[in-house]
Amino acid sequence: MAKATFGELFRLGIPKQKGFTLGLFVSVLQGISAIALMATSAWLISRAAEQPPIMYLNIAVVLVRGFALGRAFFRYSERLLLHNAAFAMLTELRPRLFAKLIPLAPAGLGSSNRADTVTKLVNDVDEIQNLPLRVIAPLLQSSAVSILTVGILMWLNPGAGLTLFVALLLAAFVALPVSARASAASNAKAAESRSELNVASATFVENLEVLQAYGWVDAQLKRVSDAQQATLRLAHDQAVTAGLGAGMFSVLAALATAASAYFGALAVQAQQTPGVMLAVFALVPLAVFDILQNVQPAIGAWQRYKASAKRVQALLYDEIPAELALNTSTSPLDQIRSIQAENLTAKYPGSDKIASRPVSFTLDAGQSLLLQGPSGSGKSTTALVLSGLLKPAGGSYLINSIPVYAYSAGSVSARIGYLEQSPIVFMGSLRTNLLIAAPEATDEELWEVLERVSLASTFRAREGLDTELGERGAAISGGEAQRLALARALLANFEVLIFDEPTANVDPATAHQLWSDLLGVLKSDSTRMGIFISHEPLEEFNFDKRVSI
Amino acid sequence: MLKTAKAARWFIASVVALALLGAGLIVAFARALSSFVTGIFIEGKAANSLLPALAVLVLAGTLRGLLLWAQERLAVTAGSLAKAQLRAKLFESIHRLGYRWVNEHSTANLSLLATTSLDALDAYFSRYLPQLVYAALITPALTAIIFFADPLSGIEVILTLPLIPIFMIVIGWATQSVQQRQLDALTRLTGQFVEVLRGLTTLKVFGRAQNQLANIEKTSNQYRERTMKVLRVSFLSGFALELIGSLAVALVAVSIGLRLVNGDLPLSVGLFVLLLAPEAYLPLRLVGANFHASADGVNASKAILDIIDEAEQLGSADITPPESPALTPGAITLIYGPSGAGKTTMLQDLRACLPAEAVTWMPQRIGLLPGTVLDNIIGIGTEAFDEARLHEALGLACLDDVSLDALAGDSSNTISGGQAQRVGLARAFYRALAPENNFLFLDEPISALDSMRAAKVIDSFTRFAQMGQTVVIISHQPIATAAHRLEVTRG
Repeated sequence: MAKATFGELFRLGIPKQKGFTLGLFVSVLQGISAIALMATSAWLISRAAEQPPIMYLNIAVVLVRGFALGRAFFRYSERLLLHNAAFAMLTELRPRLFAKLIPLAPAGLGSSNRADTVTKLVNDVDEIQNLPLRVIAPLLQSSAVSILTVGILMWLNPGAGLTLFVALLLAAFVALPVSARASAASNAKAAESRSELNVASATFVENLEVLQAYGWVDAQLKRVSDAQQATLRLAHDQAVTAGLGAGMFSVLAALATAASAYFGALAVQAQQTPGVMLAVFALVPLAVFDILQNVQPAIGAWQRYKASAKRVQALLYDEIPAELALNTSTSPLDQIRSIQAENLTAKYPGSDKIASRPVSFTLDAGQSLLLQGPSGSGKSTTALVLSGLLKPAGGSYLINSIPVYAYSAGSVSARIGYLEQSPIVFMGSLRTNLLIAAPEATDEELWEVLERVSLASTFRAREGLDTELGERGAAISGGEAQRLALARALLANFEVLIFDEPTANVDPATAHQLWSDLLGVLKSDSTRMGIFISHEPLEEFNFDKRVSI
Repeated sequence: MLKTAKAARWFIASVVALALLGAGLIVAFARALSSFVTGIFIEGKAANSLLPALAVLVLAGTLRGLLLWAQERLAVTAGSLAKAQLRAKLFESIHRLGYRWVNEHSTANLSLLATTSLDALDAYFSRYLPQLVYAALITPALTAIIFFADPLSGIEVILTLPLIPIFMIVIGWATQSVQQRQLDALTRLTGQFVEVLRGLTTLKVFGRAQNQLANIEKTSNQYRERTMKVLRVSFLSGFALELIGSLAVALVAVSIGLRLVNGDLPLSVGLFVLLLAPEAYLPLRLVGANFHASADGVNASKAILDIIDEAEQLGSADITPPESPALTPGAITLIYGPSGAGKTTMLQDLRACLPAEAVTWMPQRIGLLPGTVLDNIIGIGTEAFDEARLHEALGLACLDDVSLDALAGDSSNTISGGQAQRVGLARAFYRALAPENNFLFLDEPISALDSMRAAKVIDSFTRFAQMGQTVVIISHQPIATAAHRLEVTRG
């Protein structure tokens, strides 16, 4: 991962829309209104105490009401403008990111737990909106308002201005960092201990059957309560430091108020300032500190943003690893007549270690091959190489006796289909899920393929092609999902079908039937080749070739 | 919920004490500041003679700082403590309800409830609940003080305060139905990005990945438009809170100003009231602001309390003994039949009628726990174990290719499916080798084994039968040494 500079990370989350600048401007206006409301109110009642003719108060009365309305109105507009700009930014970011991911999938997305990778990525993208909303806007608002107020106060009364300035500096550079430290130091530890607690809790719920059967419930509950104690201690420590920051804020606000009032009083006595201004000096520091309080969450928000932005940035700008680069050749691959692997090895992108043991075989049209070996022998990585989704690390891979890189990438991927261990079922109907493979296929063609993979009767009994498959294919079984994947591969008319552990998520009784059906479908077709990956020897089935890794 | 979480009681008592103290400090601060300003401006006293007032002001501010620190500590600690108690209670209840109840419900949902949803209670305990107490104590206390200082301002505050809850309720009503409809649509739209990411490899294999780009942008834009529609309404409540707060200050300031002009009111009182008024509204406004954040926690706790209730209502288990197959000690009984016919349920029912310590049960889902292989065989956190028995179990289970120190569990990729199954077998055998064990029940114990090892493990089953144990196996694979065969058919 290339190291991103602060500037690059910062720019990633800045909305380019005009509404964003306007939103920031309105946000500053909101802060000004809040302080002006306090200042004009203080001036109004001080001036009133001098009992002037009431017309001298009219402007102040109007201003007080105006600032009160402004404070609320600006707040509302600011939030709408900033949110709209932040969402628009994500609208641009999502397709950009997706385009970058396409060449990486699947080998470049990390080998372990891809579902987790997806969730993390989606959260990372959502996190990007917090830079404008929770970091920039509050920081800009409070610094602009602080500078403006200190400036005006300095001009009216240097002593009051200067003390407010010092107090604000202390708040910004002592009190805030104390709170920030609390969150920074314990955030990492807290995340770790929370995840420990979550693992222990999830283990309890998910493995209750085993825990109860073996009398281990109490031991697991003890694990949970130990982890819980650790998080309690951390939460306590965190609260102590965070509370310290909040307390310092209050002390500094009181000191600034007292100092500002005192210098104001001296100026009034020296007749340098009219007496009506004294209440203004006394009340304005409080209002500024009120606004500064909004900055506290900004520091934690920045830390979270930074972590997410780094990952997003890396995806957007890191070069595609050589193992995943597409073939640059333009000569098309016509029909596949044979494929041949000679001491073929594979490695994961960016890793130096060869992930698979060498594989050699020759396969002709209409034949099937079982690639069998224990877990960790690199079967799945080899499958990705055979599918053209990953470049060979060593040895050779020939199609029709010519190295695979001599063909255009598009023509290879149109003819070789890789079927994932857990087939992806998209939310939507059976028809939607099939049309992914062949958008132009007619209903008759779809039924024909369903018939071949023995799914037709299942779905006829349900709602046919309109059957909703549910979220993540919740409405169909693991075996049905594999059959669906095969149906898609047949519709896409792949000449080589590569199955990665098709029975991994299928119960043992169904697995046998599934294997014989998958093989049967391929054997009925003299043009297609099937490569099956399995950790089981499957001696009872008749594969044309067998290779052990 | 308060009843369940005992920690909440002392927490509330401390919050009440801190709230009253806080209100007193606010009053002292306002009193000191207003007397200083009037002392100089109206009475023309020397600034230095009024330094004690400033000292009171700084002292009040400092004490308030300490108070805030204490409040933060209290809130967070009490929140975590309450969560801990609720979690313990939840797990105890799940344990009582049993794993079959868990399997009937969604394990994923329960897991989520025990982890993420419980965390959502944080906002409820550490933010919403204390604010509620502050609003119930500080707001009336300060309003009363304002009323005694200046009755007219007091009445103005009393009349405008209820506007906050009223506005919240009215806006809540008006927006709820709109929001719900919009939120449903929103969930669908956010789901789309997750879907295409999840299915990226599939889309790529079928050459459909590039087509998704325009789609993602379109959906993302729809999402933005819909969300903005929702926000335009939901920010209204924030707008109303802010507006009432600031208009109230304006109202009090203007009315005080007009009475000062006529000489009806001394400035010291006017200033005092002006300083107190916003503080009276603040707790109520914060309740409103934290209301939504706490709603998640409240929903989560409802779901948790439902489970606790269900466990409490659970009478003593009255499982009627099933039509039990003839079980012969010292022999193997094989149960077979199509998936979903109820083989597992039958064996579980049978098991429930036997003394727990005499039965060893190997479930189909091995369910290895996070920890080492050894932990998984002898039990997590077990220090002493029978070495000879362990080696016998390892041999019987053919667990010859896994280190006992290897890490098991969902997050590790070090153990293959076949190895996991043999760890499960070793776990079952280790227990079954104990003298008090009489029954060995196994659900699909050899489905992931290669033929050579499967044969050896089947021999091990025979060994247990020969030891006099009652061995019952659910399997779709043939087991030649089974003395009895029982077919279970659907229905």
